[in-house]
Amino acid sequence: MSEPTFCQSCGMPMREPQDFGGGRQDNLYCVHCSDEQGTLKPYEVVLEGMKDFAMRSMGVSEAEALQMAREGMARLPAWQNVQA
Amino acid sequence: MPTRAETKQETRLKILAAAKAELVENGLLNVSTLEIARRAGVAHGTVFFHFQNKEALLQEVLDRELLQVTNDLYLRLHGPHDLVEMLHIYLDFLEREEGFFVVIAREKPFYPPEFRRIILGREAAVRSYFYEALEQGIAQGIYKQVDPSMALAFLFATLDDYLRLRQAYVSEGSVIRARRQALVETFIKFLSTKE
Repeated sequence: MSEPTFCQSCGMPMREPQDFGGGRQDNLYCVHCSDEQGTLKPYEVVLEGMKDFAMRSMGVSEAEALQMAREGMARLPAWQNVQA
Repeated sequence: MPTRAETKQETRLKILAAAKAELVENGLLNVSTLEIARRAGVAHGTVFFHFQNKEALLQEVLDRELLQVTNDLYLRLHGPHDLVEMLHIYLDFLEREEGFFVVIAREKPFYPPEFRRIILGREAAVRSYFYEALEQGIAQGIYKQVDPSMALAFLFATLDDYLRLRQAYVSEGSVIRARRQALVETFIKFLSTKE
């Protein structure tokens, strides 16, 4: 079983073709962080997605979920140069 | 002969391993960088050559350790899976790393918010796998029509309680090992549409 790579936008493990943006296994970004062509979505769109993910999975408040998303993304390569 | 980069990476990993061991033994709140350096067999200054400060080092320990959980689950759970099987895979991991998770469960109310959010972020990733399995089971009529988020909140709160108050539940040995069968059976029984 091959080791996954990780989405450089959200950290999600990627191994199967459907995990990768645009279905391309050389893509740095996952299917959730990319559009249909595999291009990385804007910061605000990814942030909103990650906030919703945290709220749904953990039931935390919107404020906490937003902060989790901001800090999580700040540690990832795709967003190193973004002022959050 | 190892390259300079390889030696640097090896030292970094030694420090991280030592920090984890120190955390498990003494808790994250009482971690001493002097002790970490001693365990790793490096000079105190070397710790700060590799990590900006104690907080950065501890953040990375937490992040790496918790990343293991999500990666392990991803590798084993990718694709449709039985909720019971998933629970046992997760409990296997908790049991193996119980010392680490006991410390986290006890201390996390006192952690700086950034540390707490690292933990919550990784837990969200773990829960998302269970959320999908639960959603599938509800759609198939195997489980009752419950809010998956709330059902998982009950499960994870119980696990947290067992880890946090381990000595109340077992006088020795693993609390996860002692409680897992009853936990899984009861959780599934609550959810199941079959009488």
